[in-house]
Amino acid sequence: MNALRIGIPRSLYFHRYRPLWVETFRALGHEVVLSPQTSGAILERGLRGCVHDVCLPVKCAYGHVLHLKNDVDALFLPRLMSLRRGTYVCPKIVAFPDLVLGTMDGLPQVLAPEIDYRHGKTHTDALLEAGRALGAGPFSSRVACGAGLAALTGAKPACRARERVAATAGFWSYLTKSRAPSVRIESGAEAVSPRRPGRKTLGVLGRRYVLADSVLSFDLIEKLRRQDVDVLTPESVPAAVADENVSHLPFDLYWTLVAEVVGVARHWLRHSRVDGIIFLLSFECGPDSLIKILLEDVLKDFPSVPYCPLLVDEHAAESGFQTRLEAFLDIVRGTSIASSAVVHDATRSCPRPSAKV
Amino acid sequence: MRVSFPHMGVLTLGMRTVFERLGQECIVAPPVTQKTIALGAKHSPELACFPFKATLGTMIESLEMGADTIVMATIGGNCRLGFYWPAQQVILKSLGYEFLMLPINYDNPISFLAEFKRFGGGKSWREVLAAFVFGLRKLLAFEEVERLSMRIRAREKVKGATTRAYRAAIGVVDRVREPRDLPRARAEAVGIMNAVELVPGAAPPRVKVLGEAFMLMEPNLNFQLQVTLGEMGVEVDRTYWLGQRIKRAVRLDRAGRRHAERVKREAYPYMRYPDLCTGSESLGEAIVAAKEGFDGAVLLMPFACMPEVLAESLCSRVTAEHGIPVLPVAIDEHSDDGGLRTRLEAFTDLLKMDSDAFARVDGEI
Repeated sequence: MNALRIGIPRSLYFHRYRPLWVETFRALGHEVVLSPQTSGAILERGLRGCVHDVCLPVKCAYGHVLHLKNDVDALFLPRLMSLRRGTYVCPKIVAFPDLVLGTMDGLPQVLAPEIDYRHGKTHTDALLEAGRALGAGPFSSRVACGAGLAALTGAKPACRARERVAATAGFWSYLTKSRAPSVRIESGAEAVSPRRPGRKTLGVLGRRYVLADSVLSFDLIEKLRRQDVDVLTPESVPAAVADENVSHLPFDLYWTLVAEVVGVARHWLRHSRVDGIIFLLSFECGPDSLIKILLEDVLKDFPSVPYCPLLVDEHAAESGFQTRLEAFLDIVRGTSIASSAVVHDATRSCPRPSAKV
Repeated sequence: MRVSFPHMGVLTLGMRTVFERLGQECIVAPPVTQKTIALGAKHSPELACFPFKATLGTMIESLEMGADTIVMATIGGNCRLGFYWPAQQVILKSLGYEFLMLPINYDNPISFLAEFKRFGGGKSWREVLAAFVFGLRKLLAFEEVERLSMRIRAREKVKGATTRAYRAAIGVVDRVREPRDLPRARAEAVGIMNAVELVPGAAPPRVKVLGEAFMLMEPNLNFQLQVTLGEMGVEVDRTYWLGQRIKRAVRLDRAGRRHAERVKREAYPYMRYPDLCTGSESLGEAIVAAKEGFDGAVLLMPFACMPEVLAESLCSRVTAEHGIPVLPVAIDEHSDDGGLRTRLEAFTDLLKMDSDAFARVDGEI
């Protein structure tokens, strides 16, 4: 079996599963090629090439695939249908590989195995399928998958969460072909440092693949840190705690991001962990448009905590974003005339002069 | 209990039947107008989907008329519809209305039978079931009449005759109060439709209207698209019939299930996600329509509907590989009738021309 160049776009769920995917393919003996960090050029290609009415992160991911496709022998674009029993992944991400396959020309071999925890198709199964499609035998595929799981377990977290995979379950299931979910990311104890006096702590809500992307998020977290503000993100709250905080909602929460946004916010507010909340929304994000309403319902019980929804779209200019952020920080610090006011829906955006970065 | 519900085409009449038989007072909101939509849009986030805003508008109007219970559809699938009722409940409560929200999942009729029983005012299971069955049978009769009207309108000799017959036929079925009178009323209604004089030997182009369920069913939201196409001389059929869906969900519609399986199979090479509400289905239905000899398809969706946008992105491939032109029509609160009409006229002109000359008409309203 020859060593191939496997391309994985640096977008969407890559940010969460990077060690698992990368190490599995490396252990199979292939070279893993990642697209670079998002740049203005990549985003532009995505905006031009992708269908119009999808959200900004998906268009950005499309740009990453466009960037990669000519340099690699195969692309890994798993069909992420469900990542946790009883839930779905957002439709646009579910069908993203099909969107690529159906509208992009000149693609190399595309590995698009299904991951569907609602029907027992686990992450391990998908990676095994990918390995076999590349010509690996069943045993070496399983060993490689084990290496990937080990990397995910032992990996130092890139963000503040402490994520522990049910590793023993993972190893056991791949040894015994069991149908149990083999990769269930559970956060460990909440990584909470005591609130430092004289410094403000802001809770930033949003998708991981937006917050981890400096172009899509306008580098929000870095900007806040440079302003001497401590930042908490949804990963710092264990999944069980977030779920418990949305358990009172009387309907089927089939998107995990309800817990990740509403549950996390409620937890922070009930335990006074934050001095303000920023919600970074992407333009045209379907789930966010309605979850926003549920979030604001929770927030109205805590009127003294300032809240700022920031909408990022492809026409937004950084200067406008910066202005709104600074205004909000003034309110949080109490240096604004309108103390503890809520910065209302900051959705107006200015035209972007040039996208070249 | 004063029950109300958002409009969804002839479903309104079926629902009213059920609640009247359960002894509940039913408040029928005024038909959906631009005013309704604007009212809903005013209180919704900008990026919420169009049916959300329209149904919210109707709910506000119902609550203003004194309703204290709202019945709203929900779904177990992977789109925003499952979040409509919680979000709408939050908005309406923040506007100061006191009411009860009753979500029902049309794909799971057993669950909403339980809801009907709860609000049946002490009626027995037998009576609740009987009311449900009566409402369903009426709904099926309404849909049969509607389907006939869409088929014959293109061939009518006297312009407007079909619409007049349609209204009369619907009235006949609507007036039925006892289940035993329903078969006779249905036969009479079908007779009224079949009595419409047609141009002999006419062979109009046939178009399948597919896409998102709500937009397909509610004529006031799709600018009477199905009627308009008929008036332009096109025979129309559509893919989403709620009565048939419910029948299929209780396993009484074998032909429907076979068709659904076929649609899923045909869509598989393009989009293999039956969970995405009507997304994969739209592609599958377009392919089946091509194989059944339809001349074209219209993909009707609310603006930015997630599953349908994915279907839209792939429909040019469907056109290329199966030869059926597909016109995507995305509607939201800013759409207007004139723009839609122009696009439909262009599309029907293309269909009437030599089949080699068709091309996909692109863009949004």
